[in-house]
Order: sequence, then structure tokens, then C-alpha cells
Amino acid sequence: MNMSNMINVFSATKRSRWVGAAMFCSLFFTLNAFAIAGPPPVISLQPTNRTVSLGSNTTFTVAVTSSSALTYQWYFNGAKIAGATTNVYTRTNVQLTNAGPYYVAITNSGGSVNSTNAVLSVISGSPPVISLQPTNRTASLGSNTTFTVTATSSSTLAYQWYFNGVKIAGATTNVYTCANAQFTNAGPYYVAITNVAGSITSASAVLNVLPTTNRVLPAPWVSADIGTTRLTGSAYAVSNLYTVNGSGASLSGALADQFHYVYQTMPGNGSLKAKIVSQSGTNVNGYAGIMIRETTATGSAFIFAGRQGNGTVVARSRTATGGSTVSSNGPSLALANFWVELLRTNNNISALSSSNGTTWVTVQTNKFTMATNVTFGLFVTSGNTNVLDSDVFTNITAVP
Amino acid sequence: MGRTIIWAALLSLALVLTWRAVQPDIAPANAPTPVDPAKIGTAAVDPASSLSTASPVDVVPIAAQPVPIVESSPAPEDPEKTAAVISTMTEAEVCNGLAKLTNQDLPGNTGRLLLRRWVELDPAAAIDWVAQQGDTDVRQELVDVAAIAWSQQDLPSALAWVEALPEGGAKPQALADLGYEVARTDPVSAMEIATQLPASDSANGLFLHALSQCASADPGTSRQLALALAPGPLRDQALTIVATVQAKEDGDGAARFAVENISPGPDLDRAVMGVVQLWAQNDLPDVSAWVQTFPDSPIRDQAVQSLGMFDTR
Repeated sequence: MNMSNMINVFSATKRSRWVGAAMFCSLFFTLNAFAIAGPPPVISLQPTNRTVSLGSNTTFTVAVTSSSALTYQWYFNGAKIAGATTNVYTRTNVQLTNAGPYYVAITNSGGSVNSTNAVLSVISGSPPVISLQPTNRTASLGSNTTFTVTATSSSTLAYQWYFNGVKIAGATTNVYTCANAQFTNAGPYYVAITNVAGSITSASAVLNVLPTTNRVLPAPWVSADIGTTRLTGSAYAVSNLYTVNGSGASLSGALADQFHYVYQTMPGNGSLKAKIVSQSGTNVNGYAGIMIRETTATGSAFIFAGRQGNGTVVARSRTATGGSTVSSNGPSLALANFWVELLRTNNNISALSSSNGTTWVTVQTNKFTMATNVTFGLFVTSGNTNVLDSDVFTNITAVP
Repeated sequence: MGRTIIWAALLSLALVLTWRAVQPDIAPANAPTPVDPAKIGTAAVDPASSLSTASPVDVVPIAAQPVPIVESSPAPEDPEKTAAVISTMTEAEVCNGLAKLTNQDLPGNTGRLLLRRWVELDPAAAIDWVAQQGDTDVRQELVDVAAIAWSQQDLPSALAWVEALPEGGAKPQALADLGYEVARTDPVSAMEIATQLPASDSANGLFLHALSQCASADPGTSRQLALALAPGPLRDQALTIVATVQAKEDGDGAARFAVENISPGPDLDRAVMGVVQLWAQNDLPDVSAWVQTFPDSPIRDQAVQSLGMFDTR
């Protein structure tokens, strides 16, 4: 029915003419008002579904574009939520009864629009709880060892084990077995356990890998970890190849030293020579080398000649107990031709390097006030308390 | 109008930030008070009471004006550069450097070096400051650092200070560390220190180290001391050390001493190999003859191999 038809219908009587005129005017002003108010609001961002734990808070948000002032009203399960009259609605201390659809009605002078439904889901369970933490393990080289964790949960659990902070592929149950343990497997392990309500990370458990018992150091060598090392070092010799496994973060400055030391008594003057055959780590704070050390205490005076993790020849000394160190770099040497030597003559000790074991270059000479009887030997530190380096020495000539 | 208010607010904020940037840093609660250079070296210390409690009384002389930290703060990533910078610091610079460190950082490389430098400049003030550290763990570490540093310039005073500390806490470790310093000149006293310490690997290590120094200076006394120990691993290790050191001068006597006194096992093997290495340097024929008497065993093989090295030198 168009406007002229409407007027004709009511034009039969004079009274009807007045009524028709009034309706026309009303419709005219309504249409005119619409034209002034502009369009209804347009939602640029709909509220999204939420999944939260029981007792937590959650917020729904809507974003709207409009050319005139807006009013909001949020609804839950179709019922108006008292006081929920902004573009953001926060539900605190969420309970199971709060789960369901939420939407918001937005109005401006041009009209009204409803958002889509956003569903609030409430998780009634809690994150997993670890009832039995994985414990430190010590494994002989080549053996198998297993870490176990036990957790309680009201819903299904997922596990992921990590070594040195890196995810272990396929290690996704409550037990993890390290098969054929090598020195490179030594370090911290933990597991992340997840259920629908959250996740928890276990305590870190350390795997120590020890050499098999038939691999020993020949007399008069003994070995020990110097300083507080997180991973236990070890050493053994087979056919004049000395393998030294050591960890530790510090072997410089005034800090307490951390390394594994294979040593014997050095009564007075003497010398020590060795060829470094391999170095497993590349940390610039890691070293494999030979050392003359006054004592096995952590702040002892020492001098060493060795190979830094980046391949550099380094000589370093600490001339006074607890003092700082002084370092000198030597020439570049290939690992296949990496020889080092220490020579003690009274109070002077020199650190030398060589590419062939015959022609030697002095890297550092320093004066010490060490006791007469000191120690000398091989050492390895990884530069990282969580890593155990495994380095090999040969052609060792010890003249105490 | 509105724009004027916004600009005024921004200007005020900028002024506040600029003012804060030019203010001197506020020292942490545990920082040493900067020292008046005129009073350096004058602080008195009572060793007996210096570690009893964290005293609220600041015994370090107070300077009229705070001295700013040196501009050339050492780079923490290079401990040797740090040491070089700290080695030339004045006492006031050291104090301000320590004031910049948190409790967590104090036992680190920079903290240790600053404290060592302070001990070098004014040991009495330095150890008093150490005694006032409220954190027990930090204080224990710093006591050790200060004791060693002090011992390198005045061993008797350092020893007196540590011996006067309350039992437990930092005392055993500091005493053990000083024992190694004592061992250089007076190994018998160092062994006495070791026997005062609670039984531990640390105490045994000091005893054996001091015994080895004694073995060079006074072989007879060291033999008696080692033989007087109760049978067990420590005695065998002590006898091994005595035999090895003796071999430098008297291979034949050291060989007999080892075989007659050390229980068969790893320590005897170490003693035998130590003697072989040292005796071979003076008398290769005699030591070779001795090795020929060994029964077939891994230690005989090792000894023969070791002599081969000397044979070709």
C-alpha cells in the first residue's frame, strides 16, 4: 500500500480526511527522522567463545562502528544481565551455572543490532598434580636408565619430556628411558604434564653418566671434581688415550673454579706435556687442557694451557689464591695437531703450545709463590653446569 | 584550551623525568658508606666481635660528600678486564662499586674483586663491612674472600680474625682456606689447623697438602705424622704422599717405605708409580732393577712403560 492509496481510503468522510492527514504527517516525520539519525550500528568485532577454569574471571568484548551514540545491553541465555551496559562484559568467579551463550544488543539513534552468540565454557577440573617427581639417575656408559613421573588428574593427561630445555621427540608418556646412555646424555631432564584445566612442570632430574668400571685411571693419576659441579665428572685411560669428562661454569676470575681434574703430586720442578685429541663442546667458556695447580681447593693458584671451546690456544694463570686470572692467547692450531706443555722452574711456570710436539711457542710465563709440592694434570670444563664435555688426551709426558 | 592542557602535562612529565635522570643513584641499604680518604686505614677492629651480629652501627668513617662511582664501570662479561679496572681503584671508588651491587651480586666476580681491593687498601674497614652484612650466606662467602685476601698481606692477622669468629658458619671454610696459605711456610701449623676442623674432605685435603709440604722440608717428621694416623684411607693417602715426595731425593728409601707401610691397593700402586717416575730421573738403572722384581701385574706393565719414556729422553 503506497501513501496516496492510504489517503484515498480515508478520504470518504470529512472526519476520515482529518485522520488520514494525521497519519500522513506521522509517517512523514518518522521517515524524516530516520534520514537525520543515520544507519544502525555495525559490529566490527564480535564477542568470541571463552573456555575458563571454575572460579576464574573472563571478559567478552564487542567492537562497534556508529555515527551516533551507542547503548549496550548484554544477555545470557536470552535474559538481560543487569548492569552489563558497556562494550565489555566481565564475569568474575565463573561458576558452572554461568556456562552458556552470551550476546550483546547495541542500539543507536538509527536502530539496534545483536551480536552473535559467544559461548562460555567452564572447566570444572584442576591442573594436574605431581605426586612423584622424577629423581636423579646415574647410569654407566652404554646402559639404559629410566625417569618416571606420577601425576594425578581428574581428566586425561598428556606428557612431554625435555632434556636441557629441549623437547625430546616421542617422549610423551609418564616414563622416559634413555637408552645406551652416552656422556652427551648427561644433564637435566624434566616433564611437562597437561590436562584440560592446565599444565605443570616437574622438578628437574639430573642424569649422570659414568664410565664403565673396567675403565680406570692408571696410577699415580687420581681424578676429582674441583668446586661444586652439578654433573659428576670422571676419567679413564685406554691404550694411552685419556678420556676426561667434566662440567662447570667457571675457570676464570675470582670465582670458585668448577672442572674435572686428573692429577698427581708434583714435588718441585717438572713438566707436563699432552696432545689434545678431541673436544666435545664448543662453549667459549669450556676448556680442555693441562694444569699446574697449587691445591685442589676452589680458589687455588694455577696456570693452565689448553684449548678453548672455539678452538683457540689459551694460557691462563691465577698467581694468588682467590685472585683474578690473566689470559694469553696462543697461535691457531688444528685439533689434529694441538699440543700443550707446562714447565715449572722454581717460581716460574711457562705455558707453551705446539703444532707438532717438537717446536714449542711460549704462550705465557708467570711468577708464582706456590708451595713446593703442588699438583699437575689434565682438566676439562664445559663452561656450562648443565653440560658434561668429554675430551680426549694422548701422548702425555709427566715429569714430576 | 584542551590542547594547552595536554602540552602543559607533557612538559611537566619531561621535566620530572629529566630531574630524576640527573639525581645521584640512591645506594642500597647494605652499601658501604663512602670513605673519607683522609681516614683510610684508621678504622679499628675487634676481631672477636666482628662477626657476632649484623651491627646497625656504621663503623666506617662517613665522608662529607658522596663520591660518585667511577665512570669506567668494568664490563661484567670479561672478568680480567674487570680485575684490571678494580686493581687501580681508590677506596672510595671501591666502596661505591660495592654499593652498586645487590646481595645476589656481591659474591660474584666483581664483588669479590672489589672486596679484595678494599682489603688491600684498608683491611680493618673491609672486614668490618663484611661483618655487617645481614644476609648470612653472603656474609659467609665474603668472610672467605676477605680472609684469603688479608692473609696474602698479613697472614697472622687474618688467622687471628678467622680463629676469633663464632664456631660454625663461615669459620671452617675460611680456616681451611687460610690453612693452605699457612702451609707454604709452616706446614706443621697447617696440619694442626686441619685437625681443628670438623671431619670432612676439606679437612683431609688440607692435611694431605700440608703433609706434602712438610715431606719436602722435614721428611722425618712427615713420616712420623703419617704413620701415627689411624689405619684407613687417610693414612694410606698420607703415606703415598710422603713416599712420592721422598722419592725426589731418595728413591730407594721411598720405595722401601711405600712397600713396607702402605696397604696393598690403589694407594700403594700410586705410591709405587710416583716413586718410579721420580727415582727414574736420578737413577734409572736402580729403579729399573727394582721394577724387574715386581710380579706380573698391571702396575708392573705401567712401571715398565713409564721407564721406557725416561729411557728415550
